[in-house]
Amino acid sequence: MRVVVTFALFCLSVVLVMATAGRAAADVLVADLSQHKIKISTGFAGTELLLFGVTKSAGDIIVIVSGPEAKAVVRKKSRVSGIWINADSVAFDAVPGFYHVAATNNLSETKLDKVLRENGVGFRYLNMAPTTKTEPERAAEFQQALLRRKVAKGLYNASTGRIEVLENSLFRTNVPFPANVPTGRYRVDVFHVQDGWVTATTSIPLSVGKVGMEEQIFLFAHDQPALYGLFAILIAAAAGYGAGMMFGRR
Amino acid sequence: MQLYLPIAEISVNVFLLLGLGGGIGFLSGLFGVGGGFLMTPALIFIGITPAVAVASEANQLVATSITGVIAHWRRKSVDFKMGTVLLCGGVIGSSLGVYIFKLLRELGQVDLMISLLYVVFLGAIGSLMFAESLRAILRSRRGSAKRGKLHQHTWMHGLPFKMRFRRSRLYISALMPLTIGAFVGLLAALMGVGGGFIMVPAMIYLLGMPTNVVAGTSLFQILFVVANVTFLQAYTNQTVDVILALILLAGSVVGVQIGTAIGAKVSGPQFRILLAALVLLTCGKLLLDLLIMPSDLFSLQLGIGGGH
Repeated sequence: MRVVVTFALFCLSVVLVMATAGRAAADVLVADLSQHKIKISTGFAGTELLLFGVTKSAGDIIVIVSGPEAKAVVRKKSRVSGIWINADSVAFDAVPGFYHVAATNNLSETKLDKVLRENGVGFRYLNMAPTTKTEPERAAEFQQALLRRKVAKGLYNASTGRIEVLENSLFRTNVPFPANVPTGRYRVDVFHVQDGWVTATTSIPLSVGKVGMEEQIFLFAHDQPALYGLFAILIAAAAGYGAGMMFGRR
Repeated sequence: MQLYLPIAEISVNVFLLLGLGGGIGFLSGLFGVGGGFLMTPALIFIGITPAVAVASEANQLVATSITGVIAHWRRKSVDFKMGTVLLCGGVIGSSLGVYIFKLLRELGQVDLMISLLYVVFLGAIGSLMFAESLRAILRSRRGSAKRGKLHQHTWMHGLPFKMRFRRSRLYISALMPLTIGAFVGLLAALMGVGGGFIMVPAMIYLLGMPTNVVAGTSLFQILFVVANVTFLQAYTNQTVDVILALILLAGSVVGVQIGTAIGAKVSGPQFRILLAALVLLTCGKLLLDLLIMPSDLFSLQLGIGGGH
Protein backbone atom coordinates (compact mmCIF):
# COMPACT_ATOMS: atom_id res chain seq x y z
CA MET A 1 0.00 0.00 0.00
CA ARG A 2 2.69 2.43 1.05
CA VAL A 3 4.75 1.53 -1.98
CA VAL A 4 1.81 2.23 -4.28
CA VAL A 5 1.15 5.59 -2.68
CA THR A 6 4.80 6.49 -2.83
CA PHE A 7 5.00 5.46 -6.46
CA ALA A 8 1.87 7.42 -7.36
CA LEU A 9 3.29 10.43 -5.57
CA PHE A 10 6.55 9.94 -7.38
CA CYS A 11 4.88 9.80 -10.80
CA LEU A 12 2.75 12.83 -10.08
CA SER A 13 5.72 14.81 -8.83
CA VAL A 14 7.80 13.85 -11.82
CA VAL A 15 5.10 15.22 -14.10
CA LEU A 16 4.99 18.40 -12.05
CA VAL A 17 8.76 18.66 -11.95
CA MET A 18 8.98 18.16 -15.71
CA ALA A 19 6.35 20.83 -16.22
CA THR A 20 8.28 23.30 -14.07
CA ALA A 21 11.54 22.24 -15.64
CA GLY A 22 10.05 22.83 -19.06
CA ARG A 23 9.23 26.40 -18.14
CA ALA A 24 12.60 27.19 -16.62
CA ALA A 25 14.75 25.87 -19.38
CA ALA A 26 17.96 27.10 -17.79
CA ASP A 27 17.64 24.70 -14.85
CA VAL A 28 19.51 21.45 -15.24
CA LEU A 29 18.45 20.18 -11.84
CA VAL A 30 15.09 20.12 -10.04
CA ALA A 31 14.35 18.06 -6.93
CA ASP A 32 11.84 17.75 -4.11
CA LEU A 33 10.98 15.66 -1.03
CA SER A 34 7.78 13.69 -0.42
CA GLN A 35 7.33 15.73 2.78
CA HIS A 36 8.84 18.97 4.05
CA LYS A 37 8.11 18.48 7.71
CA ILE A 38 8.66 15.35 9.79
CA LYS A 39 6.20 15.34 12.66
CA ILE A 40 7.21 13.55 15.82
CA SER A 41 4.01 12.51 17.56
CA THR A 42 3.30 9.96 20.28
CA GLY A 43 3.59 6.94 18.00
CA PHE A 44 6.69 8.14 16.10
CA ALA A 45 9.10 5.29 15.44
CA GLY A 46 11.19 6.69 12.62
CA THR A 47 10.20 7.41 9.02
CA GLU A 48 11.46 7.39 5.46
CA LEU A 49 11.20 10.23 2.97
CA LEU A 50 11.36 9.98 -0.81
CA LEU A 51 13.64 12.42 -2.55
CA PHE A 52 13.08 12.69 -6.28
CA GLY A 53 13.96 14.97 -9.12
CA VAL A 54 14.95 15.41 -12.70
CA THR A 55 18.15 16.46 -14.41
CA LYS A 56 18.58 17.48 -18.02
CA SER A 57 22.20 16.69 -18.59
CA ALA A 58 24.26 13.56 -18.19
CA GLY A 59 26.27 13.19 -15.02
CA ASP A 60 25.96 12.02 -11.45
CA ILE A 61 23.75 13.10 -8.58
CA ILE A 62 24.80 13.48 -4.96
CA VAL A 63 22.35 14.13 -2.12
CA ILE A 64 23.41 15.35 1.32
CA VAL A 65 20.88 15.62 4.14
CA SER A 66 22.27 17.29 7.21
CA GLY A 67 20.60 17.91 10.58
CA PRO A 68 20.89 20.87 12.99
CA GLU A 69 24.40 21.48 14.27
CA ALA A 70 25.32 21.34 17.94
CA LYS A 71 28.33 21.18 20.19
CA ALA A 72 29.41 17.69 21.22
CA VAL A 73 32.02 16.17 23.49
CA VAL A 74 33.72 12.88 22.63
CA ARG A 75 35.08 11.08 25.66
CA LYS A 76 37.56 8.25 25.80
CA LYS A 77 37.63 5.71 28.59
CA SER A 78 40.79 4.31 30.07
CA ARG A 79 41.45 1.94 32.91
CA VAL A 80 42.13 3.71 36.20
CA SER A 81 42.83 1.32 39.08
CA GLY A 82 40.86 -1.46 37.45
CA ILE A 83 37.79 0.57 36.49
CA TRP A 84 37.02 1.96 33.05
CA ILE A 85 36.33 5.67 33.40
CA ASN A 86 36.09 8.66 31.04
CA ALA A 87 39.58 10.07 31.21
CA ASP A 88 40.16 12.00 27.99
CA SER A 89 37.87 14.23 25.96
CA VAL A 90 37.80 16.42 22.86
CA ALA A 91 34.99 18.91 22.21
CA PHE A 92 33.68 19.63 18.74
CA ASP A 93 31.75 22.56 17.41
CA ALA A 94 29.03 22.39 14.77
CA VAL A 95 28.41 18.64 14.72
CA PRO A 96 25.40 17.82 12.50
CA GLY A 97 22.77 15.90 14.46
CA PHE A 98 21.94 13.88 11.36
CA TYR A 99 23.91 13.17 8.20
CA HIS A 100 22.96 11.16 5.16
CA VAL A 101 24.84 10.94 1.85
CA ALA A 102 23.44 9.29 -1.26
CA ALA A 103 24.93 9.07 -4.75
CA THR A 104 24.26 7.49 -8.12
CA ASN A 105 25.77 4.07 -8.75
CA ASN A 106 28.33 5.20 -11.31
CA LEU A 107 30.10 7.16 -8.65
CA SER A 108 32.50 4.84 -6.82
CA GLU A 109 33.37 5.54 -3.17
CA THR A 110 36.79 6.89 -4.10
CA LYS A 111 35.41 9.11 -6.84
CA LEU A 112 32.66 10.32 -4.51
CA ASP A 113 35.26 11.11 -1.85
CA LYS A 114 37.29 13.06 -4.36
CA VAL A 115 34.27 15.09 -5.51
CA LEU A 116 33.15 15.80 -1.96
CA ARG A 117 36.62 16.83 -0.88
CA GLU A 118 37.34 19.04 -3.87
CA ASN A 119 33.98 20.74 -3.54
CA GLY A 120 34.14 20.88 0.25
CA VAL A 121 30.76 19.28 0.93
CA GLY A 122 31.33 15.69 2.00
CA PHE A 123 31.05 13.20 4.84
CA ARG A 124 34.66 13.00 5.89
CA TYR A 125 35.19 16.67 5.25
CA LEU A 126 32.51 18.03 7.53
CA ASN A 127 33.33 21.31 9.12
CA MET A 128 33.85 19.74 12.53
CA ALA A 129 36.84 21.48 14.00
CA PRO A 130 37.72 20.45 17.54
CA THR A 131 37.35 23.36 19.95
CA THR A 132 39.85 21.68 22.25
CA LYS A 133 43.47 22.42 21.32
CA THR A 134 44.97 19.15 20.19
CA GLU A 135 47.43 17.60 17.74
CA PRO A 136 45.96 16.46 14.38
CA GLU A 137 46.28 12.69 14.96
CA ARG A 138 44.41 12.88 18.25
CA ALA A 139 41.73 15.11 16.71
CA ALA A 140 41.33 12.62 13.85
CA GLU A 141 41.04 9.69 16.27
CA PHE A 142 38.28 11.43 18.23
CA GLN A 143 36.52 12.57 15.06
CA GLN A 144 36.50 8.98 13.78
CA ALA A 145 35.02 7.91 17.12
CA LEU A 146 32.35 10.59 16.82
CA LEU A 147 31.35 9.34 13.35
CA ARG A 148 31.32 5.75 14.64
CA ARG A 149 29.00 6.60 17.54
CA LYS A 150 26.67 8.51 15.22
CA VAL A 151 26.56 5.60 12.79
CA ALA A 152 25.82 3.22 15.68
CA LYS A 153 22.82 5.38 16.62
CA GLY A 154 21.60 5.34 13.02
CA LEU A 155 22.03 9.10 12.71
CA TYR A 156 24.81 9.00 10.10
CA ASN A 157 24.68 6.50 7.25
CA ALA A 158 27.53 4.02 7.27
CA SER A 159 27.49 3.39 3.54
CA THR A 160 26.46 5.79 0.84
CA GLY A 161 22.78 5.58 -0.06
CA ARG A 162 21.78 4.61 -3.60
CA ILE A 163 20.17 7.01 -6.05
CA GLU A 164 18.24 5.27 -8.81
CA VAL A 165 18.19 6.90 -12.23
CA LEU A 166 15.54 6.32 -14.87
CA GLU A 167 15.95 7.24 -18.51
CA ASN A 168 19.11 9.18 -17.68
CA SER A 169 17.05 12.02 -16.26
CA LEU A 170 14.66 11.00 -13.47
CA PHE A 171 16.21 10.13 -10.14
CA ARG A 172 14.92 9.00 -6.75
CA THR A 173 16.26 7.88 -3.40
CA ASN A 174 14.89 7.04 0.05
CA VAL A 175 16.20 8.85 3.10
CA PRO A 176 15.59 6.94 6.36
CA PHE A 177 15.17 8.83 9.65
CA PRO A 178 15.44 6.83 12.90
CA ALA A 179 13.14 7.35 15.92
CA ASN A 180 15.85 9.31 17.75
CA VAL A 181 16.21 11.88 14.94
CA PRO A 182 17.08 15.32 16.37
CA THR A 183 14.58 18.14 15.93
CA GLY A 184 15.23 21.40 14.09
CA ARG A 185 15.93 22.75 10.61
CA TYR A 186 17.61 20.44 8.14
CA ARG A 187 19.64 21.16 5.01
CA VAL A 188 18.91 18.99 1.99
CA ASP A 189 21.35 19.71 -0.84
CA VAL A 190 21.29 18.04 -4.23
CA PHE A 191 24.38 18.29 -6.43
CA HIS A 192 24.74 17.53 -10.10
CA VAL A 193 28.29 16.41 -10.87
CA GLN A 194 30.03 16.19 -14.22
CA ASP A 195 33.68 15.19 -14.67
CA GLY A 196 34.34 15.59 -10.98
CA TRP A 197 32.91 19.09 -10.69
CA VAL A 198 29.63 20.30 -9.30
CA THR A 199 27.71 21.87 -12.17
CA ALA A 200 24.37 22.55 -10.51
CA THR A 201 22.93 22.54 -7.01
CA THR A 202 19.52 22.89 -5.45
CA SER A 203 18.27 22.93 -1.86
CA ILE A 204 15.03 21.57 -0.42
CA PRO A 205 13.62 22.81 2.89
CA LEU A 206 13.05 20.22 5.61
CA SER A 207 12.28 20.50 9.28
CA VAL A 208 11.80 17.93 12.02
CA GLY A 209 9.62 18.86 14.96
CA LYS A 210 7.58 17.44 17.77
CA VAL A 211 3.83 17.95 17.42
CA GLY A 212 0.81 17.64 19.70
CA MET A 213 1.38 16.37 23.21
CA GLU A 214 5.09 15.65 22.65
CA GLU A 215 5.68 19.27 21.59
CA GLN A 216 3.63 20.76 24.41
CA ILE A 217 5.33 18.72 27.13
CA PHE A 218 8.78 19.42 25.72
CA LEU A 219 8.17 23.18 25.41
CA PHE A 220 6.58 23.30 28.86
CA ALA A 221 9.58 21.53 30.42
CA HIS A 222 12.06 23.85 28.71
CA ASP A 223 10.26 27.20 28.74
CA GLN A 224 8.81 27.07 32.26
CA PRO A 225 10.95 24.54 34.13
CA ALA A 226 9.77 25.65 37.60
CA LEU A 227 6.09 25.37 36.72
CA TYR A 228 6.74 22.07 34.95
CA GLY A 229 8.45 20.72 38.08
CA LEU A 230 5.41 21.60 40.19
CA PHE A 231 3.12 20.12 37.54
CA ALA A 232 5.14 16.87 37.53
CA ILE A 233 4.86 16.60 41.33
CA LEU A 234 1.13 17.37 41.37
CA ILE A 235 0.22 14.99 38.56
CA ALA A 236 2.27 12.19 40.15
CA ALA A 237 0.69 12.84 43.56
CA ALA A 238 -2.80 12.86 42.04
CA ALA A 239 -2.14 9.70 40.04
CA GLY A 240 -0.64 7.96 43.05
CA TYR A 241 -3.53 9.01 45.28
CA GLY A 242 -6.08 8.00 42.64
CA ALA A 243 -4.47 4.59 42.23
CA GLY A 244 -4.47 4.12 45.99
CA MET A 245 -8.19 4.95 46.18
CA MET A 246 -8.97 2.66 43.25
CA PHE A 247 -7.44 -0.38 44.84
CA GLY A 248 -8.98 0.62 48.12
CA ARG A 249 -7.77 0.27 51.64
CA ARG A 250 -9.03 -2.75 53.45
CA MET B 1 3.28 -0.47 20.55
CA GLN B 2 6.03 2.13 20.32
CA LEU B 3 5.75 5.35 22.28
CA TYR B 4 7.91 8.43 21.84
CA LEU B 5 8.92 9.89 25.20
CA PRO B 6 9.01 13.71 24.93
CA ILE B 7 11.86 14.39 27.38
CA ALA B 8 13.88 11.18 27.12
CA GLU B 9 13.59 11.69 23.32
CA ILE B 10 13.60 8.02 22.48
CA SER B 11 10.95 5.64 21.24
CA VAL B 12 10.24 2.73 23.56
CA ASN B 13 7.75 -0.10 23.72
CA VAL B 14 4.87 0.76 26.09
CA PHE B 15 4.47 -2.86 27.17
CA LEU B 16 8.13 -3.05 28.08
CA LEU B 17 7.69 -0.04 30.39
CA LEU B 18 4.43 -1.37 31.83
CA GLY B 19 6.07 -4.74 32.40
CA LEU B 20 9.07 -3.10 34.05
CA GLY B 21 6.80 -1.05 36.32
CA GLY B 22 4.70 -4.12 37.09
CA GLY B 23 7.65 -6.41 37.78
CA ILE B 24 9.43 -3.99 40.08
CA GLY B 25 6.11 -2.99 41.69
CA PHE B 26 5.50 -6.69 42.35
CA LEU B 27 8.88 -6.98 44.07
CA SER B 28 8.29 -3.88 46.17
CA GLY B 29 4.87 -5.19 47.22
CA LEU B 30 6.29 -8.60 48.00
CA PHE B 31 9.22 -7.38 50.05
CA GLY B 32 7.89 -4.05 51.25
CA VAL B 33 10.71 -2.05 49.67
CA GLY B 34 10.61 1.08 47.53
CA GLY B 35 11.94 -0.37 44.32
CA GLY B 36 13.73 2.80 43.16
CA PHE B 37 17.08 1.09 43.54
CA LEU B 38 15.99 -1.57 41.02
CA MET B 39 14.05 0.73 38.69
CA THR B 40 16.76 3.30 37.97
CA PRO B 41 19.36 0.72 36.81
CA ALA B 42 16.63 -1.05 34.78
CA LEU B 43 15.73 2.20 32.99
CA ILE B 44 19.38 2.87 32.20
CA PHE B 45 19.68 -0.70 30.96
CA ILE B 46 16.84 -0.22 28.40
CA GLY B 47 18.58 2.84 26.96
CA ILE B 48 17.22 5.83 28.87
CA THR B 49 20.00 8.26 29.79
CA PRO B 50 21.03 8.16 33.47
CA ALA B 51 20.04 11.81 33.91
CA VAL B 52 16.46 11.22 32.73
CA ALA B 53 16.20 7.88 34.55
CA VAL B 54 17.20 9.33 37.92
CA ALA B 55 14.94 12.40 37.62
CA SER B 56 11.87 10.56 36.28
CA GLU B 57 12.18 7.81 38.87
CA ALA B 58 12.11 10.49 41.59
CA ASN B 59 8.89 11.73 40.00
CA GLN B 60 7.38 8.25 40.03
CA LEU B 61 8.34 7.83 43.70
CA VAL B 62 6.19 10.88 44.54
CA ALA B 63 3.21 8.86 43.30
CA THR B 64 4.15 5.58 44.97
CA SER B 65 4.93 7.09 48.38
CA ILE B 66 1.86 9.35 48.72
CA THR B 67 -0.66 6.54 49.34
CA GLY B 68 1.62 5.01 51.94
CA VAL B 69 1.97 8.31 53.76
CA ILE B 70 -1.81 8.83 53.87
CA ALA B 71 -2.39 5.30 55.16
CA HIS B 72 0.23 5.70 57.91
CA TRP B 73 -1.06 9.15 58.79
CA ARG B 74 -4.55 7.74 59.37
CA ARG B 75 -3.07 5.01 61.55
CA LYS B 76 -1.18 7.79 63.42
CA SER B 77 2.10 6.01 62.82
CA VAL B 78 3.97 9.07 61.59
CA ASP B 79 6.22 11.07 63.91
CA PHE B 80 5.72 14.44 62.26
CA LYS B 81 8.28 16.23 64.40
CA MET B 82 10.97 13.66 63.61
CA GLY B 83 9.82 13.62 59.99
CA THR B 84 10.17 17.39 59.72
CA VAL B 85 13.70 17.39 61.16
CA LEU B 86 14.69 14.56 58.80
CA LEU B 87 13.06 16.48 55.97
CA CYS B 88 15.04 19.67 56.70
CA GLY B 89 18.19 17.61 56.32
CA GLY B 90 16.67 15.91 53.29
CA VAL B 91 16.01 19.19 51.49
CA ILE B 92 19.58 20.36 52.10
CA GLY B 93 21.03 17.01 51.00
CA SER B 94 18.89 16.60 47.90
CA SER B 95 19.47 20.18 46.74
CA LEU B 96 23.20 19.64 47.09
CA GLY B 97 22.79 16.34 45.24
CA VAL B 98 21.04 17.91 42.24
CA TYR B 99 23.81 20.53 42.07
CA ILE B 100 26.54 17.84 42.18
CA PHE B 101 24.60 15.90 39.54
CA LYS B 102 24.67 18.91 37.20
CA LEU B 103 28.38 19.45 37.81
CA LEU B 104 29.28 15.80 37.15
CA ARG B 105 27.10 15.80 34.04
CA GLU B 106 29.19 18.61 32.61
CA LEU B 107 32.37 16.73 33.49
CA GLY B 108 31.02 13.55 31.83
CA GLN B 109 31.31 11.52 35.03
CA VAL B 110 27.65 11.12 35.91
CA ASP B 111 27.38 7.54 34.63
CA LEU B 112 30.46 6.54 36.57
CA MET B 113 29.14 8.13 39.76
CA ILE B 114 25.76 6.39 39.44
CA SER B 115 27.40 3.02 38.73
CA LEU B 116 29.84 3.34 41.61
CA LEU B 117 27.16 4.40 44.11
CA TYR B 118 24.94 1.52 43.04
CA VAL B 119 27.76 -1.02 43.24
CA VAL B 120 28.70 0.16 46.75
CA PHE B 121 25.17 0.38 48.16
CA LEU B 122 23.64 -2.62 46.43
CA GLY B 123 26.71 -4.66 47.34
CA ALA B 124 26.61 -3.65 51.00
CA ILE B 125 22.85 -3.97 51.45
CA GLY B 126 22.61 -7.17 49.44
CA SER B 127 25.30 -8.88 51.50
CA LEU B 128 23.87 -7.63 54.81
CA MET B 129 20.40 -8.80 53.86
CA PHE B 130 21.73 -12.11 52.60
CA ALA B 131 23.66 -12.74 55.82
CA GLU B 132 20.73 -11.61 57.99
CA SER B 133 18.16 -13.85 56.30
CA LEU B 134 20.58 -16.77 56.26
CA ARG B 135 21.06 -16.34 59.99
CA ALA B 136 17.27 -16.09 60.48
CA ILE B 137 16.75 -19.31 58.53
CA LEU B 138 19.38 -21.12 60.59
CA ARG B 139 17.98 -19.68 63.84
CA SER B 140 14.42 -20.74 63.03
CA ARG B 141 15.73 -24.27 62.38
CA ARG B 142 17.40 -24.34 65.78
CA GLY B 143 14.31 -22.81 67.31
CA SER B 144 15.91 -20.29 69.66
CA ALA B 145 15.88 -16.52 69.32
CA LYS B 146 18.27 -14.13 71.00
CA ARG B 147 17.54 -10.42 71.06
CA GLY B 148 20.09 -7.66 71.38
CA LYS B 149 19.65 -4.40 73.26
CA LEU B 150 17.16 -2.04 71.61
CA HIS B 151 19.53 0.88 71.69
CA GLN B 152 22.77 1.71 73.33
CA HIS B 153 24.20 4.99 74.52
CA THR B 154 27.08 6.17 72.41
CA TRP B 155 28.97 9.44 71.77
CA MET B 156 26.08 10.49 69.50
CA HIS B 157 23.85 10.97 72.51
CA GLY B 158 26.19 13.63 73.84
CA LEU B 159 25.62 16.03 70.95
CA PRO B 160 24.02 19.45 71.55
CA PHE B 161 20.58 20.77 70.39
CA LYS B 162 18.60 18.08 72.17
CA MET B 163 14.99 17.74 71.15
CA ARG B 164 12.10 15.72 72.51
CA PHE B 165 10.33 13.47 69.98
CA ARG B 166 7.19 12.44 71.83
CA ARG B 167 5.79 9.89 69.42
CA SER B 168 9.15 8.16 69.03
CA ARG B 169 9.73 8.41 72.80
CA LEU B 170 13.18 9.86 72.22
CA TYR B 171 15.19 12.74 73.65
CA ILE B 172 18.11 13.14 71.27
CA SER B 173 20.17 15.79 69.50
CA ALA B 174 18.44 17.21 66.42
CA LEU B 175 21.79 17.01 64.62
CA MET B 176 21.46 13.23 64.28
CA PRO B 177 18.20 13.06 62.30
CA LEU B 178 19.33 16.17 60.39
CA THR B 179 22.54 14.46 59.26
CA ILE B 180 20.78 11.19 58.40
CA GLY B 181 18.11 13.12 56.47
CA ALA B 182 20.77 15.06 54.55
CA PHE B 183 22.69 11.91 53.65
CA VAL B 184 19.58 10.10 52.43
CA GLY B 185 18.48 13.22 50.50
CA LEU B 186 21.86 13.33 48.78
CA LEU B 187 21.51 9.70 47.72
CA ALA B 188 17.94 10.33 46.52
CA ALA B 189 19.16 13.04 44.16
CA LEU B 190 22.24 11.18 42.95
CA MET B 191 20.76 7.69 42.60
CA GLY B 192 17.06 8.27 41.90
CA VAL B 193 15.97 6.30 44.93
CA GLY B 194 13.69 7.06 47.85
CA GLY B 195 16.40 5.97 50.25
CA GLY B 196 14.15 3.87 52.48
CA PHE B 197 16.74 1.11 52.44
CA ILE B 198 19.19 3.42 54.25
CA MET B 199 16.63 5.44 56.20
CA VAL B 200 14.84 2.54 57.88
CA PRO B 201 17.94 0.82 59.33
CA ALA B 202 19.37 4.23 60.31
CA MET B 203 16.18 5.11 62.20
CA ILE B 204 16.12 1.78 64.02
CA TYR B 205 19.78 1.28 64.78
CA LEU B 206 21.22 4.82 64.94
CA LEU B 207 18.29 6.82 66.31
CA GLY B 208 16.67 3.95 68.23
CA MET B 209 13.14 4.75 67.05
CA PRO B 210 10.34 2.29 67.85
CA THR B 211 9.54 0.16 64.79
CA ASN B 212 5.83 1.09 64.65
CA VAL B 213 6.59 4.69 63.58
CA VAL B 214 9.62 3.93 61.38
CA ALA B 215 7.81 3.02 58.14
CA GLY B 216 5.36 5.95 58.28
CA THR B 217 7.96 8.53 59.24
CA SER B 218 10.47 7.42 56.60
CA LEU B 219 7.74 7.48 53.92
CA PHE B 220 6.74 10.98 55.05
CA GLN B 221 10.31 12.19 54.65
CA ILE B 222 10.78 10.32 51.34
CA LEU B 223 7.64 11.87 49.82
CA PHE B 224 8.90 15.40 50.33
CA VAL B 225 12.48 14.64 49.41
CA VAL B 226 11.55 13.02 46.08
CA ALA B 227 9.17 15.93 45.42
CA ASN B 228 12.08 18.31 46.01
CA VAL B 229 14.35 16.24 43.73
CA THR B 230 11.67 16.21 41.02
CA PHE B 231 11.30 19.98 41.20
CA LEU B 232 15.03 20.72 41.20
CA GLN B 233 15.85 18.22 38.43
CA ALA B 234 13.07 19.72 36.32
CA TYR B 235 14.28 23.22 37.09
CA THR B 236 18.06 22.81 36.64
CA ASN B 237 18.44 19.88 34.24
CA GLN B 238 15.05 19.57 32.44
CA THR B 239 15.28 15.81 32.74
CA VAL B 240 11.92 14.86 34.30
CA ASP B 241 9.81 12.84 31.86
CA VAL B 242 6.24 12.91 33.20
CA ILE B 243 4.99 10.44 30.59
CA LEU B 244 7.67 7.91 31.51
CA ALA B 245 6.90 8.31 35.22
CA LEU B 246 3.15 7.85 34.69
CA ILE B 247 3.53 4.71 32.57
CA LEU B 248 5.87 3.17 35.12
CA LEU B 249 3.37 4.09 37.80
CA ALA B 250 0.47 2.47 35.93
CA GLY B 251 2.45 -0.77 35.77
CA SER B 252 3.67 -0.62 39.32
CA VAL B 253 0.23 0.01 40.92
CA VAL B 254 -0.97 -3.34 39.62
CA GLY B 255 2.32 -5.07 40.45
CA VAL B 256 2.34 -3.78 44.02
CA GLN B 257 -1.19 -5.09 44.67
CA ILE B 258 -0.29 -8.59 43.48
CA GLY B 259 3.02 -8.48 45.33
CA THR B 260 1.42 -7.38 48.59
CA ALA B 261 -1.25 -10.09 48.35
CA ILE B 262 1.31 -12.80 47.82
CA GLY B 263 3.74 -11.32 50.33
CA ALA B 264 1.09 -11.46 53.06
CA LYS B 265 0.78 -15.23 52.58
CA VAL B 266 4.34 -16.28 52.02
CA SER B 267 6.73 -14.05 53.87
CA GLY B 268 9.85 -14.67 55.80
CA PRO B 269 13.57 -15.06 55.46
CA GLN B 270 13.32 -17.53 52.55
CA PHE B 271 11.85 -14.74 50.43
CA ARG B 272 14.18 -12.08 51.75
CA ILE B 273 17.12 -14.20 50.66
CA LEU B 274 15.72 -14.10 47.11
CA LEU B 275 15.56 -10.31 47.18
CA ALA B 276 19.11 -10.24 48.53
CA ALA B 277 20.21 -12.45 45.64
CA LEU B 278 18.46 -10.12 43.15
CA VAL B 279 20.15 -7.07 44.67
CA LEU B 280 23.54 -8.77 44.53
CA LEU B 281 22.91 -9.80 40.93
CA THR B 282 22.15 -6.21 39.90
CA CYS B 283 25.26 -5.10 41.75
CA GLY B 284 27.34 -7.75 39.99
CA LYS B 285 26.10 -6.69 36.56
CA LEU B 286 26.96 -3.03 37.23
CA LEU B 287 30.37 -4.01 38.60
CA LEU B 288 31.15 -6.16 35.56
CA ASP B 289 30.28 -3.25 33.27
CA LEU B 290 32.85 -1.15 35.10
CA LEU B 291 35.55 -3.84 35.02
CA ILE B 292 35.19 -5.29 31.53
CA MET B 293 36.75 -3.33 28.71
CA PRO B 294 33.91 -1.60 26.81
CA SER B 295 33.45 -2.53 23.14
CA ASP B 296 33.96 1.11 22.20
CA LEU B 297 36.18 3.19 24.44
CA PHE B 298 34.65 6.36 23.05
CA SER B 299 31.32 7.88 23.94
CA LEU B 300 29.47 10.92 22.70
CA GLN B 301 27.75 13.61 24.73
CA LEU B 302 25.71 16.24 22.94
CA GLY B 303 24.76 19.79 23.70
CA ILE B 304 27.55 20.50 26.15
CA GLY B 305 30.56 22.62 25.31
CA GLY B 306 33.87 22.79 27.10
CA GLY B 307 35.87 19.66 27.84
CA HIS B 308 39.51 19.62 28.77
